Amino acid sequence: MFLPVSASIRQFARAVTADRMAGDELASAVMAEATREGRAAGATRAELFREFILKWCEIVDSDAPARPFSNVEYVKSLGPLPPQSRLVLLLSDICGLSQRDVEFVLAPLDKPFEELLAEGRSVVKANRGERTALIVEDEPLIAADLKDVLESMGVKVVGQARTAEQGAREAVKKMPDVVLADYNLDGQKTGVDAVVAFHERHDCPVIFITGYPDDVLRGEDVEPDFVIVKPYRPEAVQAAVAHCLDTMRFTTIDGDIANGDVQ
Amino acid sequence: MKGEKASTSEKRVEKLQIMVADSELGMIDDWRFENRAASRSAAIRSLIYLGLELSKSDPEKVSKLLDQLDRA
Repeated sequence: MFLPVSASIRQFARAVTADRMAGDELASAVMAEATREGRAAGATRAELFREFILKWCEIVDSDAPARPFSNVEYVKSLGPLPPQSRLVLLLSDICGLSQRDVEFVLAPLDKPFEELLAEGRSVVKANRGERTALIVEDEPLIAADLKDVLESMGVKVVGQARTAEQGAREAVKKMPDVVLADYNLDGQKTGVDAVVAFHERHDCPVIFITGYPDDVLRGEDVEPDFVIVKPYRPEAVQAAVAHCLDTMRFTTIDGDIANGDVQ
Repeated sequence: MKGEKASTSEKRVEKLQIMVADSELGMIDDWRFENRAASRSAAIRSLIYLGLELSKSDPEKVSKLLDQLDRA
């Protein structure tokens, strides 16, 4: 299942930055610059992704000084693009693009697609020491499956919650490095409610898993950080978790979160 | 594909928390849509830029506006 086109770019940008706000800002800034220059948005998903990546590269590589507070200054301040192996992993395993589309989007590739994807996927197995995760899922079978997927990559599941309230309590108590949450919980509250309830006290990346991406990524203020579409593939979950664990969070000046790049 | 350059290899972006009243947020959003800013953050950045530029070009006016703000 594919996301709507503009939502696909937001999903990708959030994945790259492992941060909802920073990713949405990256997506809107780059697309606004492309539109301002009259560059037509691609007709297909792959064309739009290519347009986005090309414009992003152009901004990053430009020597022209950027005006303070402009879109260009924001994009340049985010630093360089991740390496191609990481982009291939995100586009292929998280955004669900086919090999042909990924080759088109990132052309010219430094190495063959298979080699880059293998390189990207190898990070999933990297030793990250004792990293922890919380699962917020009301379906016991899916929760058990997610636990297996996480444990197979050496991530310790420190808590499992079945409701938004339980999820918020567990997150504050266990302080996990990453949270995996079902978007639709117990028919009343959603995974977003759980995150809203704990994010002020524990800011960590949240990966949402949903069967209804169209309902989730609508450009509203409270949207999931990182979306994986059901039925999910274990590789997609592993890629998302590995990427979140490797990417440091952005600083909130009034808080104490450190910002940084993909390590 | 390039995009490796950037002036430094690290991110130089910070999240800044600000508190505003609902009505003020409405004014920011109205400005955003009137001026077709790409996002609320982009609108706020533009408004900061405009304010700083005005401070430089017309400090007298800025001083008056600040007085009004303090008295409100």
